[in-house]
Amino acid sequence: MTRRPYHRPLPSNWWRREPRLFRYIVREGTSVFVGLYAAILMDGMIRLAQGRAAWESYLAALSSPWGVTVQLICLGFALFHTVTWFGVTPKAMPPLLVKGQPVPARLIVRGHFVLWAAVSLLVLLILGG
Amino acid sequence: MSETLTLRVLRYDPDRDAEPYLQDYVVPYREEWVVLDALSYIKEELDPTLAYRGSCHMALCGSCGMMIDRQPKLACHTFLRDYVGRPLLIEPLDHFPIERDLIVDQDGFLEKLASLYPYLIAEHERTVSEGEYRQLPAQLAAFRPFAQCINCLLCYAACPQVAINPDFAGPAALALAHRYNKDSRDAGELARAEVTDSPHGVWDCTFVGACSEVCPKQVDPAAAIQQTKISASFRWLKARLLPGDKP
Repeated sequence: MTRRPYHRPLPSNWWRREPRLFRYIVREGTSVFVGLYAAILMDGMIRLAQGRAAWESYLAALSSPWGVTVQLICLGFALFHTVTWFGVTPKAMPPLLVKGQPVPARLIVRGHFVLWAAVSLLVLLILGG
Repeated sequence: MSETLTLRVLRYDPDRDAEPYLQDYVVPYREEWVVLDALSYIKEELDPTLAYRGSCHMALCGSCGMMIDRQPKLACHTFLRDYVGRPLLIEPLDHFPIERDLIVDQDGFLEKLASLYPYLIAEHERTVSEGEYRQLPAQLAAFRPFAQCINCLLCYAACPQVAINPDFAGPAALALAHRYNKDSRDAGELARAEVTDSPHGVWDCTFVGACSEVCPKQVDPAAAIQQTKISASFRWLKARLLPGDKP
């Protein structure tokens, strides 16, 4: 009897064969849109430094139908990115102990959502005031 | 309820076959049978040439991991009754070379595991007269979940990074490294860091999380690896902030 281990190649559609892998690829893919929005914000800072005319043309581009569509798409992916990332935070941090007992994962996830809501509210209050 | 069930089993004989092929076996349907029972029936009654691993029949030995209906599962822990009405596909674990039929080549995994010193490395070896190593319940709780690994390799079959990066140390080996790193009796973290902190250690992991989903012992290798990434990052930073100082 000889040893001749057979190596099966990984199919190129590996991420489509399994729902959990598809969710993973979508989660990773959302970072492209988060990055795109960061680039739009950085472009805004450059335009602001260039003077009033450049800044106003930047604002006009953002308010155009195309600008609004791109921002809405980015918002959707950023929300998905945030929600899925909050969902995995209990695994990504060292165990949180209170009086020697580990804090349940769902409380850590909820804590992130509460903090998110609080920070969003604060930003809205500052901008509104 | 049907009285028989078809098992569609991947076969490969290195002496005879150029590549694997599927073979159907019709086995009696028993509500209390698990897949391992059906494989035993095939070997004893239908085809003695079928090769598979299995031993304890109670999800403790970790021998009978295989792809059942394309999912990595323990054959002793998967009931036929959940798959009635269609042929049940049985294949060897994904991402491993096939040795023969349902048996995979584990050499690569065993080398990776050994490179991570999966045992206690005490700073000071206690003699018998010095007595046992003592540990508080809280110290035991810090690593106990990660100590439940049975090396069944389901996590390797679930992880796409294992397939894409053959040198990746992989979920179970890294979870076991974490298990010993978190043990209050152990002082081997720096020895393990040579592999855990290397590109093919924790950094090949992209946090897919599939390993933890398929683990039959709820070990959560994904959490172990992310926590090791934090320790590895601190070691990296410390080595740069305090040059000359042993991390």
